[in-house]
Amino acid sequence: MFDARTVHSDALANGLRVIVAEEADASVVAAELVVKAGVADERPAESGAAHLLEHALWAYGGPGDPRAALEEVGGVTNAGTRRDFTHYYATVPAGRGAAELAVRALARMVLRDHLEESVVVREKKVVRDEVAERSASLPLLLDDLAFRTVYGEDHPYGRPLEGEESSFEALDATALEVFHRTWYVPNNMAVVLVGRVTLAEATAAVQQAFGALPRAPVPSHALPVPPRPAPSREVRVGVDAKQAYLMAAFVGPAITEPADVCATDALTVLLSEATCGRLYRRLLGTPAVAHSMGVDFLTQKGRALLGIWIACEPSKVEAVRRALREELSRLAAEPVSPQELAAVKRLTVAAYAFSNETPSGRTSTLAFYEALGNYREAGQYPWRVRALRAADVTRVAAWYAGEPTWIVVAPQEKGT
Amino acid sequence: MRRALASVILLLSCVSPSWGTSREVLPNGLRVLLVPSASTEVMAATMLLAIPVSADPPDKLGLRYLTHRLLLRGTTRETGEAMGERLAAVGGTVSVNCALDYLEITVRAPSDGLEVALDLLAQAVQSPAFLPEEVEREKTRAIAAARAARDDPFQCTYQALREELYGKEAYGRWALGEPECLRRLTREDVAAFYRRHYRPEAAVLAIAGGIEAVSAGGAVRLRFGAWRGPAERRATPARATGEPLASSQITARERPTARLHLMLGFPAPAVATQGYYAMQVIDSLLGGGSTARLPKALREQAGLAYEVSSFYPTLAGDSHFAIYAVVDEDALREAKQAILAQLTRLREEPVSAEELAHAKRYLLGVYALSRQESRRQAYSAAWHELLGCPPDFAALYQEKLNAVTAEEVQDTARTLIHHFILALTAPSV
Repeated sequence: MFDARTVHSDALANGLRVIVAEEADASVVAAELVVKAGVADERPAESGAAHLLEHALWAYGGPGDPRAALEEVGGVTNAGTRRDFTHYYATVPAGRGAAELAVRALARMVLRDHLEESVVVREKKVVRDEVAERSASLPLLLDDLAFRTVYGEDHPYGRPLEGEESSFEALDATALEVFHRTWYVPNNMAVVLVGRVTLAEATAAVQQAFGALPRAPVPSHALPVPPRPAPSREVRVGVDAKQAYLMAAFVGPAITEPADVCATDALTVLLSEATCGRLYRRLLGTPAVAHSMGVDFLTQKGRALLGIWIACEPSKVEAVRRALREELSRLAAEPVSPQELAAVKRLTVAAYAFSNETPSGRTSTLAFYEALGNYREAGQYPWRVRALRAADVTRVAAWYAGEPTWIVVAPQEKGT
Repeated sequence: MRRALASVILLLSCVSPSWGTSREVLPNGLRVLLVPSASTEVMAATMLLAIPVSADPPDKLGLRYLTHRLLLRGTTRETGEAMGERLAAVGGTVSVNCALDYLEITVRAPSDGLEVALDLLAQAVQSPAFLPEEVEREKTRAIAAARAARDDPFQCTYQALREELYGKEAYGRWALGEPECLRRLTREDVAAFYRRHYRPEAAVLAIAGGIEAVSAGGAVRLRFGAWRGPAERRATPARATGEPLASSQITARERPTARLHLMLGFPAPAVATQGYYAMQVIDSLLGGGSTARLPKALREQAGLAYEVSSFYPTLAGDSHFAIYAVVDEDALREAKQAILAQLTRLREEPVSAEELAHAKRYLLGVYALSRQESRRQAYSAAWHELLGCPPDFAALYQEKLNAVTAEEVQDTARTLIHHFILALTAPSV
């Protein structure tokens, strides 16, 4: 996965970090620019700015569109906004000048002094459409409600990724430029490259594209720490659907608690893996109580959300809730057997290997860990998982054994 | 957990010629492809079975889907749970898929889990138990999946388009079947379907990733060499055909969606036939990447579509080309006109040398780089084999694509782009 001997880093004089995994046999160069600012860094009045800015920069278009330069050589590109960071990425065929091409295109994408109002207006419409589609997708609606309910509207993680409607509608080019000037500074960004490229080549390309940017102060703010376990709440939403979707949401560990992150990952596998998951078997075994289930847990800078979602017949909601509570209580009370722990550790490490099989997968992982702290954690993850003991799983299970926050999205009852 | 943050299609400007693939046909007719790679520590084994959607009897739509799901629910040797635990112990996962032309079962594992992965695959396809309680349980889940597909606006719109293009048979059917038919199926139906259709000569097994070819070949022969299908030889299934459209039509479905989903499509050539490569270029010109003609015109310039793309699926039978867009309900007319304007432009105006070269490079990049993962390599090798493509299809594809001229693109557009089906899914129709 990650050979420490091939992953190197450097920094420009202006503070921009360069991380490179040199893979001489690769047929591509994958590049990612990560800005260590996302939705959680917005002030309440600029809610929605991080995502809208990402849209406006990536899809700016017009003459000299950097996306065309990438696609021209058979490359691809995309961008995304998360609670803790924003990223722009591309993969191009390996070859002479490939890294330089990718880095230059990413730099042209994000380094704009001025944004046309017409572009911002156009992308606001696209974002509104995204919001409408999210609202129509019940699993996504479940996710949005879980974040809002568990963290509350005052916590940055409780805000919708696309922004609160009132502040989003007030955003204009000037507001986005303010957000851009504040956060898109070299000492708050990193460029990650994986593939047929050397650190020297990469650093030279990054220096040429970003070297002239001046270092600037980066605002700091501490994320509020939600209690763990969080107080239980319940949100019910009636929808026009045939089956019910529910999520049990909990407060999990932050990136600064790496052993607990790994233990929570192992716990999610113990519960939900289709081949051997305890809850999966109980809900989808014979007799089946649910149609499908899964777990969402993405490590974040602050304490992250663990969400266990289930789709079932409306009449089975209570049976599902009981099963979930009982399985979590059992995990908190009884250590898992050595055989079960060994299988779970293998599955967790294997899943990590699957997601890091390609250069773009490895780029994404290195950039993710760099955005949350330090890219070196990417190499540590499998070792931390292998070191897990049964007691580690029992310890984190205790956080999740109480009554969770329930989000229930179910068919509207007649007469309501 | 560190999860994939976004799906990225990888690209390469030159197509690598099938990664040193080795091919063997076992005496029982099973075709085996091995695609070793030194640069990965995981492997994937994919079996595709040439059992198309048309194999379902008309009153048992979904039988093939239910039968295939049940392969993982226990064999004559062990229960489904025991199979799952054995695979989990080596860090492996397994999935099944039901496409229009084939049934798929794929096992992924760390490379040292190869033997267990093959063991599971061999048992699943050769000795499924079809226990009555498992049949009932999987029926419930199959019905839920078939219903969920109907609630998905893209699937719903695509189905409407295919029904108009192919009628109610073959590609005009839902791949997962009909909930009402699924409800009536019995264990006897499943067992009879299995006996009739699951046979080694209808299957391709491809293994890719961190494997050693000689030992992997031996492991396959050991586990699949004794597989025997029924003595009765089955005729090769008829390939779906799409008739040229005599007129343009509109078909609409009502679903509680936030926006209007539209799909405009028409028949297009089967893989590797006359016009296939030019049609690939047309697909790339219109929807290949964020700066292709459709996203430029509809999203960037007119601000009409939240999402716009095109696709030209590779199918065993006659294929189709489709443009998909998600728009405001009141923007339907404008979006349709903008799409038709782009199609008319293809017919009337030769593509420039620069844009043609761009479109080809994009296609070749997508072709090669989307096959970087071992599971994609295994799938791709198996699918090309099932389609009857030559072993060096990757090189052929590159050669034929590079040979496409601007005149061919325009001729193909003039030949194929006349009438169309416009399929809509909207909150109210």
